[in-house]
Amino acid sequence: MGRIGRSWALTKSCFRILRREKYLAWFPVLSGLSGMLVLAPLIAGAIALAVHGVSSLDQGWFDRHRTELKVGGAAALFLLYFVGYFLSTFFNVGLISCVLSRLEGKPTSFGRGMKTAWSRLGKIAGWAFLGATVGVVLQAIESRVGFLGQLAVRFVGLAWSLVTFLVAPVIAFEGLGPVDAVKRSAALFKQTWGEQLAFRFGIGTALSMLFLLFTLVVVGVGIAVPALTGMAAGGTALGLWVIGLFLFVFASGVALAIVSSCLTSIYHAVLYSYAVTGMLADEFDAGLLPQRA
Amino acid sequence: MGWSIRIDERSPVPIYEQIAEQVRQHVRTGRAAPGLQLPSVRDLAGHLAVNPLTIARAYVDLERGGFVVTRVGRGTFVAPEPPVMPEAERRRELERRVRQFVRENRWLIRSGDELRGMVEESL
Repeated sequence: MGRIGRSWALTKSCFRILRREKYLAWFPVLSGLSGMLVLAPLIAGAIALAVHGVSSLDQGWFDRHRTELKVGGAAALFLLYFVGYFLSTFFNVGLISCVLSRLEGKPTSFGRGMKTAWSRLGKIAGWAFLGATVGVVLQAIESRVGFLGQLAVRFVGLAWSLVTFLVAPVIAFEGLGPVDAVKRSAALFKQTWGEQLAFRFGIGTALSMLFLLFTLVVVGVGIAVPALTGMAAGGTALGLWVIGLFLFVFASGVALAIVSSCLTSIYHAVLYSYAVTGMLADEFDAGLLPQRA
Repeated sequence: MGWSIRIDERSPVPIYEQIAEQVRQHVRTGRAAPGLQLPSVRDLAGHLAVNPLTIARAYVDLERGGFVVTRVGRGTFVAPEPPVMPEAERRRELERRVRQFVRENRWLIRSGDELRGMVEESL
């Protein structure tokens, strides 16, 4: 089986695992909600600034505090990256540990996943610090270089994300610290680069296209129904129809984002499992192999 | 494979630790020489009737301890220079085994002198 075929087989097993273990969806949901809670003060600040207007502030004050503002901005950016990495990795480690335990034939539950993530808190924070540092440094370089430099920085960013793709399962399964986890993930990347690329550019793109197609169909229906039923422009019925349609698309988008995030995390787990055992998740699931663990 | 691994399902020690410990013993005693290729995860899982991820967990543990090295696409091998057991640990392990031997064979042992003589002879 080639790398693309194997990637497809791994993806299919992700769908199967998600169908059986529906509670896995709680991990990305909580990750998103906690992220929103943390970001709320920042969003509130930005809204306040937009409402009152930057121009109402004294220009001289900006000039006098230029350095402090730059340092503060960089610190805020770092904090944003850190919190983002921390929360996503924390819930990712929880979900991945559930999938790996299931493949290993051990009992799993949402609580067990959270317990594993909690037991790796220091390592997750260490990884979030490392990831945030790399993210901020790359962003700082990108804002100072020309077009070719920006391309090079983006390429480095892509390489970094591929090499660190398996950091979360390594933290979950092997309990390694951030630096060792990056080294281990890089070593495993040599075995799984094709499957990673196939998933990222194949399945990831397919899911985006699916949502785009879905939105186009809904918009088409949204335009066709009022025209066919003769809803009056500016009428209450048309207003309700537009609001309902918007809410439907929004809810579908959120649902797809949750499923997509879940599948990506499960893919991390099954790809890691393939890298360390040389066996596809389906072979574990088929019941052909013993589940003694 | 010129050496064997046995799983004790009644033992409170997790299976992956049992496997890792037995491989460590084989490496220390020289039964598994440096450079020897260990069975693949799939083969050992089939042979021991153990879940493959449990075998992988044991191999990861051994690799972290420096007993084996994994070469991408080639397999897992006994490390060229596996770690030597520290003296204090060696002594503890020997004492533990001697105590266990005496406990299990108390009914056969008539005297310390007899046992000491036999040990001397065996050495």
